[in-house]
Amino acid sequence: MKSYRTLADFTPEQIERFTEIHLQVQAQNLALKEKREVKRVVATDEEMDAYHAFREILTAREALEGN
Amino acid sequence: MSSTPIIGRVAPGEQVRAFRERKLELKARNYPVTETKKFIKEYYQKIIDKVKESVDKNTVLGKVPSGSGMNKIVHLLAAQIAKDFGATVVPDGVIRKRHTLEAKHNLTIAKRNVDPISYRVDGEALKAEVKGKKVIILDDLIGSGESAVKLKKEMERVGVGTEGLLNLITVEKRYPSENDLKRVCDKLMNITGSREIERGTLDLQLTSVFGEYTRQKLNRFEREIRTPEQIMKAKAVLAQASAIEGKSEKLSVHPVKSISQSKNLSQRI
Repeated sequence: MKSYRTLADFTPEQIERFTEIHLQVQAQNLALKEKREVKRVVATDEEMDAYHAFREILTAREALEGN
Repeated sequence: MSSTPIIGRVAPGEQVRAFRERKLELKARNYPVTETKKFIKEYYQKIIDKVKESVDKNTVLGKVPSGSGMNKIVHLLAAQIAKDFGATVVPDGVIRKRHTLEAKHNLTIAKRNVDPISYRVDGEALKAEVKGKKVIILDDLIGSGESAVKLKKEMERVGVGTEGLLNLITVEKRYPSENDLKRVCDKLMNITGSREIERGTLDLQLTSVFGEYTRQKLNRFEREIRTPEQIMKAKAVLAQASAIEGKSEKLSVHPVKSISQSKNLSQRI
């Protein structure tokens, strides 16, 4: 599996794409909570894997740096 | 699950609900760090003695990845424990949520409800981090335990064993009573209308297979048994669970026709 350790492992294009995916995922989670049908997140497995790694790294950084 | 000790405070459902509600309030505001730290401190104080007994500089903490990709509680908690007891934390990105087609693509509510929680672990990186140290899985809350158990299994799959599940709060398990088991037994007997299963044998199986289930889990199982297909799956789950428990000698239900047929249901209960 591909290795991701820091935010520098992601390109600006990827980060832009992850922002888009994150909004879709949030909308999807909201839809589930409200028991509405789920809109499709259109992304490849590789993109989603990188997205999840990115979110973990970003959230940890935000937490530990006090953002 | 039973072989992995829980390091944390076991609390009744209403206290866990209160924890969840406060967590959701924080989540709605993207976990403001100062308030999130205050929230953690309140619960951390209640478990610190247990943490002290279990965590030291030879401990590696593996954080359960956030489902929403937003949760800062686990990161802050891990950092606090590392600071207090010298533990190390698995670097971010080594353990991550697994994207599955079932989870994220083209879903209906019904399909999403059977979505398995799944994780991806960079085995080589994790092993390099662990180097003979003991590994403890860290999460803020253990409800059904599904997340922690799934991660534990995934870590085992890549060759890393875990020695505990550390969390701020764990929902108290309510085990099914004899009446609960009897009710499930009656339902199975009524639905199947089958004489292939002796009542006494089925009773015995239900106790051996479901005796350690929580009531919630048993109720979910019970609710699923409706259609002939589900009955078949229920029987397959019984067979599968019995085999896993090493109690296959007690088995007299239909043999599992197909593992894939029973997979969905077994993942759900």
